[in-house]
Amino acid sequence: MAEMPTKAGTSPVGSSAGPQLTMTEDSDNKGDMYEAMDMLDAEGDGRERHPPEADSDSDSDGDPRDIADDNDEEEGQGHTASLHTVGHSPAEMDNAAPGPRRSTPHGSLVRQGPQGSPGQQFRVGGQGWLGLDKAAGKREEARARPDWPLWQQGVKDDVMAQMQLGTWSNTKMRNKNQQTVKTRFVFDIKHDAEGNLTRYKARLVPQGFNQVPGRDFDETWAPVPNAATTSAIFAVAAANDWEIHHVDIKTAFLDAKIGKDMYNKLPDGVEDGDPGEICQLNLALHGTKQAKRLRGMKLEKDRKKMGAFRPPVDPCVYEWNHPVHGRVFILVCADNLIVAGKILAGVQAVKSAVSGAFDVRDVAEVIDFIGIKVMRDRKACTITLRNRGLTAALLEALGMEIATPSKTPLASGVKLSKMRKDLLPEGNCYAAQVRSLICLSTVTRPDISIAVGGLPRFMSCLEEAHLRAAKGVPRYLRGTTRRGVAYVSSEPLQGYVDADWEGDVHGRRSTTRFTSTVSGGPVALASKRQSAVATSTAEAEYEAAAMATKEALWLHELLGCA
Amino acid sequence: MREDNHSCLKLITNPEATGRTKLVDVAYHVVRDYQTRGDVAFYFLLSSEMPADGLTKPLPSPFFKTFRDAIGVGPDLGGAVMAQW
Repeated sequence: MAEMPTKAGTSPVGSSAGPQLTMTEDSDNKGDMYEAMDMLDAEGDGRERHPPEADSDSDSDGDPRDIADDNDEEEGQGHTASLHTVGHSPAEMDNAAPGPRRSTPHGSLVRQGPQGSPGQQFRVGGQGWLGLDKAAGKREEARARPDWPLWQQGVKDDVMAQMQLGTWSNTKMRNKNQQTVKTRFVFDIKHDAEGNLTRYKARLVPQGFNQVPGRDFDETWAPVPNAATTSAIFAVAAANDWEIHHVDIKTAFLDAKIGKDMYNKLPDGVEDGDPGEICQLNLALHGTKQAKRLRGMKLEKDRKKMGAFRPPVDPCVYEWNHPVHGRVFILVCADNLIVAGKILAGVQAVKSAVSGAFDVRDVAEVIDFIGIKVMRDRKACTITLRNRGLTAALLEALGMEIATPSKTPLASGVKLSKMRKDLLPEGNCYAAQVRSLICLSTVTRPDISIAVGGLPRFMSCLEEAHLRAAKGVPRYLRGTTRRGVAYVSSEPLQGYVDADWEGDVHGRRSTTRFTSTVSGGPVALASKRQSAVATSTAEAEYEAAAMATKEALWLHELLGCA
Repeated sequence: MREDNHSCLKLITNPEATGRTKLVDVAYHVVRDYQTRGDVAFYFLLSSEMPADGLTKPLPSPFFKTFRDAIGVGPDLGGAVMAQW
């Protein structure tokens, strides 16, 4: 979805000249992780912001291993600089309307509470980056800018393209009060791989939140794989030296029939027949709630035609047996596809089949998948996944980007409990804070999963101690932003199971903890409070073993496909 | 599969029945089936070496480091580690 930043084109991926890591800052696009923000999914919202340049004050502590890091950092800054020099005279820059920043993906992470409003903080802090090199947030904002004619052209282009496709047809309003779904334009500035400005893009998106269930849409399911499946495919690929390619289906134009009577109202100013006319949507415009589902269905139809089948373990994985090229796996995550297989020709064959049916952007070897940065060393057969961009954005959204780092996510020996007195008032940001950590812990940061598993238990009766404990996690992340999971060996599936007997001090129930590794890296973690009260440690562990075995058997089946 | 509780391992590998095991919910005995069928093998692992241990309780920092390494969270291969924690 995101345009590759400056370096993507220049870094040779998987070149055979020695151990080569693909270092790009593109994982700073967290956009994909939050499908909720899909409305603003205007290809490349990662460009909207940059990780705090000073996110690593404590970086250079003389450790030789930090050298690579420093380069990383410089590259990041270079990227920023290149953005600022794009095609505008200084005078124009001065005229920049200091409009509000478009809300960013991580902005949605934190609801703005009454007192602590990290989102607000973020926006204020972002003033320094404002300028004409950034896309306009709203139409009014774009109109007030000196580069409005360029945006206007973008609007025209988009409307023309949609008209040609027949995305909608004009109809008369049936009655004066006929309900329509509003639309708006999302703006973006497009750059090529060198960071040069290529075009001003506007895209019409319906405001999906105005859609009424039943009237405008029924099902909204979109294919998103299990976190364990995602990890497993990388783990297996690392050990077997598979080719892993990434295909990004462009979302701009969809040819999936919407199958619902949905009416849209175009934004003011778009020339479109009589004022009494509205648009009936024929195709699922990107931004409608069902767009991803319809695309997923189309994908499935195509894959079936191709002869790929779907193992029952995960509905988002397809396996394709080719007589010559062997087996190729396709992992579908909404618009993003991972195509992995031993033989390059097989992978290419799948990719060309996909690009025949969809308008795609072929990224070749995977660098950045749903915001996870994939770093690979083909010689050593290792893959590292990390999510530094999301971590940095999260810290920023929580206002903890300059917090003192801590060594562990939770202080040892602290046993949180519900005292049920001195409760904190409603409307605090605890829930948002805890929730935002979940997606980080599932794939790239299993080390915080203990906190992520335990902290939500106190959402309903929040006390000062819980809030204090929750603060520890961002502080820990602050010190370990660049860590991620590494698949470094060819070790088969290993499971580890443990239980904390009576860990829940109120219900006296135990918690099962299960972790499994493939190729030396974690693929699945499970943490579940047991349903029965165990009367001894052995009993608690026995329960845990039963649960973990079931989990492990599923994993075994998944890996058996590979 | 690694376990750190001897009594539990015994329970899984032998059809023992004592006064206390009769209180275990029948549903959990499914693990014995899997074990006898050979779908899964259980081994003992010391608590101190157990990666899942760090998932059950907050560990002090030196143990936490060991835990982190054991579950496969490492410094990334580019050496891009921040401070050495």
